Amino acid sequence: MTDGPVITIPSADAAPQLVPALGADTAVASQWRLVAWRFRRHRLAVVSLYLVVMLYLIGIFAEFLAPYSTDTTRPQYTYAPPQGIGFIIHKANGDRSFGLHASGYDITVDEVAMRRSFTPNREKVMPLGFFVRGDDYRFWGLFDSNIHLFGPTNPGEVVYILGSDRLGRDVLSRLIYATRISMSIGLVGVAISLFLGIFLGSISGYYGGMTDTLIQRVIEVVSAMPTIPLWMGLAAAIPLSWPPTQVYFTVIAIVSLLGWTALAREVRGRFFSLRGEDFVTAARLDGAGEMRIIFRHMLPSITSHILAMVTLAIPAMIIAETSLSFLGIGLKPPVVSWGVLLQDAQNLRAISSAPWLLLWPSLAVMVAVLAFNFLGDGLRDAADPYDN
Amino acid sequence: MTTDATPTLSVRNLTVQFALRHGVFNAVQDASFDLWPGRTLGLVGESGSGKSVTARALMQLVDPPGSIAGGKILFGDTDIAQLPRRGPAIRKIRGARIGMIFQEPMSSLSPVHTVGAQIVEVLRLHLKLDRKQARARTIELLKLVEMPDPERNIDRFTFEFSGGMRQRVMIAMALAGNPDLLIADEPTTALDVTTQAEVLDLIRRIQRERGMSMLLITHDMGVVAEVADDVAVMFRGRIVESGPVDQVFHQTTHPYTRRLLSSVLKLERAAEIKQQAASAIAPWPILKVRKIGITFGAGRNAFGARTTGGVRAVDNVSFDLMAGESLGIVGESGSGKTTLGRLMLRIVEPSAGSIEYAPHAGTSVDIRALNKAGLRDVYRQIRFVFQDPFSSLNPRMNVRQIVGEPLRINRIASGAALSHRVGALLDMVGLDPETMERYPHAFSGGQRQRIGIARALALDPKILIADEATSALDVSIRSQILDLLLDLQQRLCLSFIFISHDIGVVRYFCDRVAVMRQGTIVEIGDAETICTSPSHPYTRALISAVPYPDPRTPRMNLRTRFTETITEKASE
Repeated sequence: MTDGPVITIPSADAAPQLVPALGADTAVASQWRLVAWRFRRHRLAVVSLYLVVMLYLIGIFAEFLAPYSTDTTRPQYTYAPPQGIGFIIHKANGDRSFGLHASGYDITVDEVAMRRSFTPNREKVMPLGFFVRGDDYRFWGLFDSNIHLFGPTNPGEVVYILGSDRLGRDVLSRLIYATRISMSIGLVGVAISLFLGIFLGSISGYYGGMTDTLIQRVIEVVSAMPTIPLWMGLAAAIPLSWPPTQVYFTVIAIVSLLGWTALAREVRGRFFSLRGEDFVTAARLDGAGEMRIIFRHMLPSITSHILAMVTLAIPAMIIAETSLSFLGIGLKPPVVSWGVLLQDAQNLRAISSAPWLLLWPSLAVMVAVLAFNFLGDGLRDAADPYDN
Repeated sequence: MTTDATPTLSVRNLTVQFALRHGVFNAVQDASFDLWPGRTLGLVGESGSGKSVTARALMQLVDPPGSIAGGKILFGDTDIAQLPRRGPAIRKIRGARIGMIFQEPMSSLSPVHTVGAQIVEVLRLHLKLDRKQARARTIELLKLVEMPDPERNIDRFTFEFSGGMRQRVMIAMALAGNPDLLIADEPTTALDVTTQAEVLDLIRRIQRERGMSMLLITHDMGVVAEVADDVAVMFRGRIVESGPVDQVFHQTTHPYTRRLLSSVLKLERAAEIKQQAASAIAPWPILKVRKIGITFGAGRNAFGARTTGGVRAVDNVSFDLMAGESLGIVGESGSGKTTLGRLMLRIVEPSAGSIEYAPHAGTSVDIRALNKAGLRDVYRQIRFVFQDPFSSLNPRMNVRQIVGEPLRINRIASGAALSHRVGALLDMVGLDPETMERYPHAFSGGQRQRIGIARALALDPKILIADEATSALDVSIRSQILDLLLDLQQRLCLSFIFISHDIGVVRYFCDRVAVMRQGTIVEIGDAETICTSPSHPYTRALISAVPYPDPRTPRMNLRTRFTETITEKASE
């Protein structure tokens, strides 16, 4: 048999059978395209991806989306329950008309119990509209505006779609602002862990030997520390006089301090197994230097894994921030995060009279954490498109 | 066919389908064959031909997304194709009336149970023996498969055994239920050639003694010729030819079988190009290896000082490679041949000896004394072709990047010039230059190996070290790659160090052969001499254990005597 340009016996190996529809498309598909194809088959993960993107969009456009600012207090509306939203307006004369509105309350003050009670009154109609004028804000700290996505068309009226808190602040608005802080803490925190993790993990895995032993021992010592007491200790050391932004970044640093170890270990493990792969040896024999081998040949093989790991690490950060703030040692008012919101739900009285203070922030945390976990699972499954 | 008129198992129009994203793929299509008592059917085919799927279908072991889509598997009165995949009906047949031997004795036995416990379990499940009886029977079975000292070995774990011994355990397990039919799926593919011969002998003897039917699945025509009574040839899910072994080998009708046989037989002698006259230039030793060695696993004590001990993977090896010559290095697994290839380029750092590289007659450098820059310079001239065409190409780079990488790193070409060079290289190894934008996953094993060769040739090397470069490939692809390498050798004046466990490949390709065993070269000499009249007893045993692809001249019967000498030597 002569050696022709085309292999004449097509049973060359099993690959064309496993992927029989191997068109020109698949043939030139890069790693990321293959990952995307595999990811798309994971339906729950795709839904989660949309959810996560939505949460970040909410965080980015918080000022515009929230009907009120976070610190608009109205003492006459403490612990006001969520108001219903309706489309059909019932008029006193029996007529009905169409229009987006919230129904108001009758407020009675119980002199003995010293609390206000709210009873819904469908007669009181507060028309709602889109792109209405309301509280002033400075968008992204750049330009002033007072347009909100939606709210009562009459700026004098107040609408609490998710209820109000102890000071009569709108829970929905605070929740939207909290999304910005909580979601970004996860992201920034992971970015720091990622940098440390990849840097130390790849060095540890590529060079091995003494370097590896040293880094691994450090990782072991760091991860042997009990998390909560350490966090508490560090958080307690934050001076009360610090401005909110400084506290914010300090909390991120504290939270990510321990997150990098798991990432570094995983990266190290991957590098260890990759180091023995023939294609890495081949790169060495091609004359590639160490930096080129690490960054051009080895790192691309694990970027998708890193992405998956990062996605799974973010919820841990979110939970960590929430716990710290809930315990009162993380972020503090006036900064609003999900954890700060939950502080209001710490006593039984608040929960019994205003359960929405507990419900909405915890729901937000759960949705975010679950979405990240499903997304991470999907990414992890899709991360290596070359195993069969 | 035989006096017994009813076959043990007959398969009629079996079709196995796999549901895929884009429609349905027929892994097995319309396959029909009979298995007769006391006879062995060899089911041959290259990888992906559907032979293993067929075997699994016979025991209802095809996992989703695969399913039996049509046909009958008649075993006695039952049609196995109709039985549910799970349930008592099929479990009564599996392991009890049909025994199966898998390819990988390593992964098909449990590492956390003793050998005995695994066989005892089969006996208790299928024959309802009590503990004592089962143990006694297990010892009997281990005796049957020629396991030495079965009373003691029954309580050992699988990792304490060699591959051949593990495969014996596997056979004992398959025989535990007194099956009427034994299915052996590539039972010796993972084994060394001498071990393969012993295991095949054993399987054949047991099968004859018990009058069992056997289905032997293999890609190796030699194994079929040695063991099988009947042959069925599979190609792309269909049985293209079947009949008694002599008829299939000597009155071949189907062109595919003919092609398969010719590529097998081709490797039974030296390549035609080799038989032509040698080149006119006086050759000089381009590579002089002297007393090279490496010790693995020599530990350090608590104070960092080296302790003695460890395995001498390569021990005091010396040889010359002449310019323009192909030197074959053969040996069984663990003989140190792969390590030797890696020592040569200091992928693994040698602990002793010298490697003199002389690119031209007269000048020479010692590779062991070079610094990083010097070594990089040598890497341009001595290139490496890897065994596994799958792991040696980075799946995340396309072909242009893979083949162009050495050119880019050594600043030889970039941009359009690089694409041009890569195109020319692909053309040289018989691939369409248009495919350079593709990623490795779009290529078959043989094509990937060509890409690996193109990468090795990119820097105009003087020497290629090919480590089992063809052993992951099917036989027809193998001979194509070998012919490609021979052609390139002639055109580019290359010298080769060709490491292989396959004597046929080495005889076909090499001028001289070195036989390695336990880290040392036991014999070195002219390829034809080594392959036809070796002087060292180990080489004789090795050569004689290779199954010969002709049922009329079985080679393995003449083997035993040599093997015994070897076992004696090994046990010293």
